[in-house]
This record gives sequence, structure tokens and C-alpha cells, in this order.
Amino acid sequence: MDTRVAITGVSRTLPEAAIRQSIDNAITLFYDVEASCSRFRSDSEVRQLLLSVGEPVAVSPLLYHPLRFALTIADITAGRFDPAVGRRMEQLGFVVDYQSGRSIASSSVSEDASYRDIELDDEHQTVTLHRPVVIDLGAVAKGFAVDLAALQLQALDGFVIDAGGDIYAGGARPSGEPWRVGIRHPRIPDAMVTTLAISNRAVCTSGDYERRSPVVPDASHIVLPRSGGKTPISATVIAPYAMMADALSTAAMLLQPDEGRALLTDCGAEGLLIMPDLSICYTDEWEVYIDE
Amino acid sequence: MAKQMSKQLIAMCTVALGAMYVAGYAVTAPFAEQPVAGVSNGSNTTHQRAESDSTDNTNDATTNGSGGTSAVKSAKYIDGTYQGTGSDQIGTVDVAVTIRNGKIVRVEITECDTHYPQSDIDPVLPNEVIAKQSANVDFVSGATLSSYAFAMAVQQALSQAQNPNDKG
Repeated sequence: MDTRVAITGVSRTLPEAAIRQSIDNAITLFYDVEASCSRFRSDSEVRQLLLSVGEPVAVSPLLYHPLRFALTIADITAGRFDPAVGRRMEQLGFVVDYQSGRSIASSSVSEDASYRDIELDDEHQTVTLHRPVVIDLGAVAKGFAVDLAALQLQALDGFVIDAGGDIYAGGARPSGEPWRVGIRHPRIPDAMVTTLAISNRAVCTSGDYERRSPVVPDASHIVLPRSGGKTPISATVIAPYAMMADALSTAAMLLQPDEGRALLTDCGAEGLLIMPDLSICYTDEWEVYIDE
Repeated sequence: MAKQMSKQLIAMCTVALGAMYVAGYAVTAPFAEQPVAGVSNGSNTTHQRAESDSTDNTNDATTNGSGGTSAVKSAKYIDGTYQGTGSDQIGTVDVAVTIRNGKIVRVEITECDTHYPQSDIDPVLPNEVIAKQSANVDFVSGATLSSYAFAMAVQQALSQAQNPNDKG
């Protein structure tokens, strides 16, 4: 996923070899999810859907569930969050597979395709594309992989999965205290905005500073399907699952702060939004998680 | 309404993980064996550096303690420079922590043998330690970096600097 994944595990009872083994198993799940969900690989399940436009295609649960989740968030946000932005992202120059270095781009894809062109069948676990759509699961797949890894590590007393800013902190530090998670300042390189005390929760931050478009100045990898309004430059979300925190932090980046705050509250998540003038906006229970 | 949306999303995540479990992806950890006594409390092992200067540092405290004896006595840390080493899945980090007048004034990464460049964590993590006067930053959200190894290394150095007269 072009992201470094680091896992830390702590156990009072298990031998070190067993801890290492469970961490290794957890890491392989990231590769499994990537093989199904990557927009950058022509052999990925999500990319293969483009070969059978108009007909139902049976897919693995590795693709089905993250896609289902992304479409639900698209529904909730009335399409402001839209996993069908893949073609737009290609136009912004986000086309290179970090592993092979090869470019991928799809010329035959409809420019105005949206999530409404994607139909799921829960009973048969099939996906039907009604038009050619490049699906980008960047806002959910990594979170889903983090959740799978967390499930794999439940036998430990404490663990942290850190996948490029998508963090899940389970259990406790060796001292028995919650894990401390810092939030990077979106504009000052060496600074942190705040530090959180986290246990059994995911923390995900989306920022406009992570990946800049190589072809369009001032465009970042978070694409707003319909423009307008003032949106955050950084959105951090705390939720019970990383897939939730991941998708909601991306969605919050696309909304005006009051809308973003309302979305997070409606979804039972806490969050901190930082605006271009560095003013902040947070949910009611956010402060509960601040360390100290 | 709001409650429902939250429940729906949580249920979807739960179902997704359950489906993966059924499909055999996320097998639960195969730990049937009995716990082994006396083995590591984690995958993060800290290595005590075999060095003679850690004892010297205690002496430094009396000579370097320019802030007056009473101030040094009540300080959390004793003045001096302390070494620490930490390791995690992605490598090993060595640090030198300098205490002056009972405060952390300098944190230097002396060795960074990790899978990521030192510039990823230096100076952001050292600065954070100085700002917070503790090693209590483990992970950074919004950055592709984390260094438990670094925190462990600083923690180890600070444990040597601990003032035995300090009650809290």
C-alpha cells in the first residue's frame, strides 16, 4: 500500500517467538488486502471488475466488505465521499504502482462515473459496474487491513499497529497505561498538535500534506468530487474500528467543519479538524482522549 | 437516528471481520502452549548497554549540579548524560539524553539502525521529548513514522537519570 506498517506487541505470558509469529501473521494480511483492493495493480480484484462491466462479478470478502463500507459512507455523505474517484485521481497523476513502478491509467473510463454506478448484491457477494468505474478504496482498505491485523493480535496484552498514520492501539503499554498517540501538525514539520491516550481504539489522520499531486499544483490525494466551501487541512478521527476512522477522516476532509463534526457525531466517532487558518473544531467527547 | 448510524457502521465492521475469519484469513493466534516462565515481556527488547560511564554519570551529578544542592535533590532527574537503546520490529535506535538542572535539555540519536531513514524521526521525536520532558510519545498519527524503539531508548536513559530522592 506504499506505506510502512509497524506493529508493536507486548505480552506478559507468551514467549517472544510466539509474539513475533503473531505479528508476522498480522503483517501478511496487509498484502492480502492490497492484492484485492489496490487501484494501482492491473491484476487486483478491484481492477479486474473493469473487464466485466455490466455483469455481476463474484468477489472475495477482502474486496466485498471494504467496498460495501465505502459505498455506505458515500450514501451517508450524499456522494461527497465517493470511492468512484479513481479516474479523477489518475488525472491528478496518482498512477504509479509503488511496487512495480509501472503506471496504470484507464482511458475508457467515464469521467462522471459515481458510486451510484456500482451495485452490490449482499446475498451472492457480487459487484456489478453499470459503467466503467475506477474504484479507489484508499480511504477504507488500509483501515480494514489494520482491523484484520488487530483481530490477529488479540492474544497479546498490548499492541499497536501503525500503518502510515492509521493507528490501532490495543490493550496497554508494558506499564499498564494506555498507548500515547501523537497527532502531527499539518503545517509545522516537527511539531505535534496534541497527544492522545488510546486503548482499544483506532486513530486515523487524513491530511493534505501526505501526498501531493505530481501534475496539479496544490492538489493532494484527497479528491473532492464536487467543489465548494472551506474544508480542513487535517482531520483526525478516533473510532472503535480503523476502517471507520479511516473512511470518516477522509470524509471529514471533504466537508465543511460543521458538517464534518456532525457526521462524526452521528457516526459515534470523535474527531479533531484543523482548518487552513489553523483554527480547530472538535467533537464533544474528543477531550476525553487527550493525554494528561 | 445518530445512534443507528453508529450502530450500522460498527456492525458492518464486525461483519466484515467475521466474514474474513470464516474465510480463513485471520486465524486466531495459535497459542495452545503453556506460558513459558521468565521469558520476555514483549517483542520490544531493550538491551542494557555494557558501559562504564553510566556509573560515572551519577558522579557527574554532584559536580555538574550548578543549580544548587537542594534544587538537584528535588529534581526528577540527576544531571548528566545517559545512554539508552531500544529495538522494535523496524530496527534499533540508540540515544544520548542530557539532563541539566534536573531537566531534559538534549536528546541525541547516536545510532539509528532502522528500515527508515533517521530523518523520519530526527528531530521530531527528540524535540517532542524535550518539549514534554518525558519519553511518553510512542506513535505519531498523520505521519508514516513511529518509533517505539526510540521511546524505549529514551525511557532507558531516563531510568538511569532518575533521582532516588524524587517522590513523584
